[in-house]
Amino acid sequence: MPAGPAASPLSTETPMSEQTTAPATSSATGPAAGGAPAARVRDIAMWYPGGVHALDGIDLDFPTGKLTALLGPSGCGKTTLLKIVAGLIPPSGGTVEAGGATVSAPGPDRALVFQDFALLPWATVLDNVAFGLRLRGVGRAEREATARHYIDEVGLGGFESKFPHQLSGGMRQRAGLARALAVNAEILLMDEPFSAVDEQMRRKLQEDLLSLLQIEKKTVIFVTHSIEEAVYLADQIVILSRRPGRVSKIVEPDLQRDGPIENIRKDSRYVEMVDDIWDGLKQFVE
Amino acid sequence: MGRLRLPSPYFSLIVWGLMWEIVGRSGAVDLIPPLTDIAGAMVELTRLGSFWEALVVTGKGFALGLGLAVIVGVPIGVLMGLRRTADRLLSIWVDIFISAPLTALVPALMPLLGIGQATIVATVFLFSVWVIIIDSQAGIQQVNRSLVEMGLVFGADRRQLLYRVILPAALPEIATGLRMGVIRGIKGVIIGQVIIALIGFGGLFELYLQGFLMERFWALVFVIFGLAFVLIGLVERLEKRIEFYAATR
Repeated sequence: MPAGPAASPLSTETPMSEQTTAPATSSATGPAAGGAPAARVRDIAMWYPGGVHALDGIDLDFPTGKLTALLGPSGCGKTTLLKIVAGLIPPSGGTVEAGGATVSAPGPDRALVFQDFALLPWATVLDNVAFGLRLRGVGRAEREATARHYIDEVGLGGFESKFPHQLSGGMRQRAGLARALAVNAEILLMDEPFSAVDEQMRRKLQEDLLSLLQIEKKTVIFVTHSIEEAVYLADQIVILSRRPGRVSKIVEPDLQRDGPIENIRKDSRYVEMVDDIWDGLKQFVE
Repeated sequence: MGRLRLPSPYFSLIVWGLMWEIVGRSGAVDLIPPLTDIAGAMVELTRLGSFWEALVVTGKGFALGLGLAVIVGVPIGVLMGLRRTADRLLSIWVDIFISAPLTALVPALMPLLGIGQATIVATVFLFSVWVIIIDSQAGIQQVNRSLVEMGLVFGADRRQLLYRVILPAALPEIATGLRMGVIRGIKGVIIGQVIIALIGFGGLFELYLQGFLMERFWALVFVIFGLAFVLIGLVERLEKRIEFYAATR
């Protein structure tokens, strides 16, 4: 990003493609009606300047209240797809809908959890978590109360006045998660959120995320390159092919999630599913 | 091995000081009076009204020039970091002036601005503004991409993005530019005064050299060195604090 990373975001974010005609949804169902996906993408294509063809013909539904994992080899455009849904990158073609409305920019219905946490280094955990609310003009007392609530919920209670550099990677991502939850968006976008922490911490974070999602009913789009992580967390796994990324396969792990979370990893179907997906993915990995 | 300790950095300073003293005492070189006499002259200097006047004039010229350089340089650098058009239009000039021997311009400034404080202010400005521009631009360009995306995702408008994310994130680099600006500005103010040779320390230097008051001359040189060190040290501390405040991981 030598061309000044701030240049593009500060110049207006009008995407080139805003043809409102999404390929006919089963339009009988209103946006709020049960069964309608919280978000959908239609025929998304992405070319980067210089001719890199990152995504091609992506059609996906992201069911309300479910966790969809985008899984694929590195460079398959899964993060690009996530950022298109976030409204950060205008797609070269196709449409994104969230809550029934066409997406062309970031909006309050979608919050993002970043791979590198993206915490403000000069702000405390409390201020970082409250950041989104502050931008919206929520008063100090109210936003701090909300922030404290989510800080407790993600298990960071007691660290409100710490700065990011005083926290471990896992704790930083908890702060990132709390920040995304604090704005109360329906859709939570997570970009390889646990890839920068060590294995044990990752497992703990995965478990905590599942417990959290049982309380906070969110639609989650979760980018990962880990098959195990996808099978463990997701209700729906979208497997993307190598560049240009296309939907190669969609699987729905039918794991018993009602019981204690620890049981999922012991479920024999978990192991089988991981193997199956690996067999399917091998072809894309050289 | 255990007994050998590296000499303190001041050791070399003391050795050279002693040598100076010996040469000075021998009277072999007229230009070099003994250090002890210079120290005496330094005390004398602080009792002179003309010294304090010169200090005030110099301080004013420096502060004005640097102030202008900051007021002009930071926004231009920020703009060049944000907008490619601004970068295209201005970077060639910045590149030329950052490495140009600006001392050569001072005599050209004199007929324009007069033989006085205005020329000094302009010299300080010219010496310090370019590095402030360059570092401000670099600061903006180095802002972590995902911090910007974070701001956008959580609904920041342009103003909020600039003031709540981009500028604070660029602050350590801008502070570095400021420190470099101070260092260059000090050079600017002294060079300007010496060339003009009428006002501030430049006037005093001229006076002491004309009268061959070498003790005073050297005393003034040392005082100016000392003041510069103190000032730069203070700015360095400020920079460290800003860096800590905006600690980027």
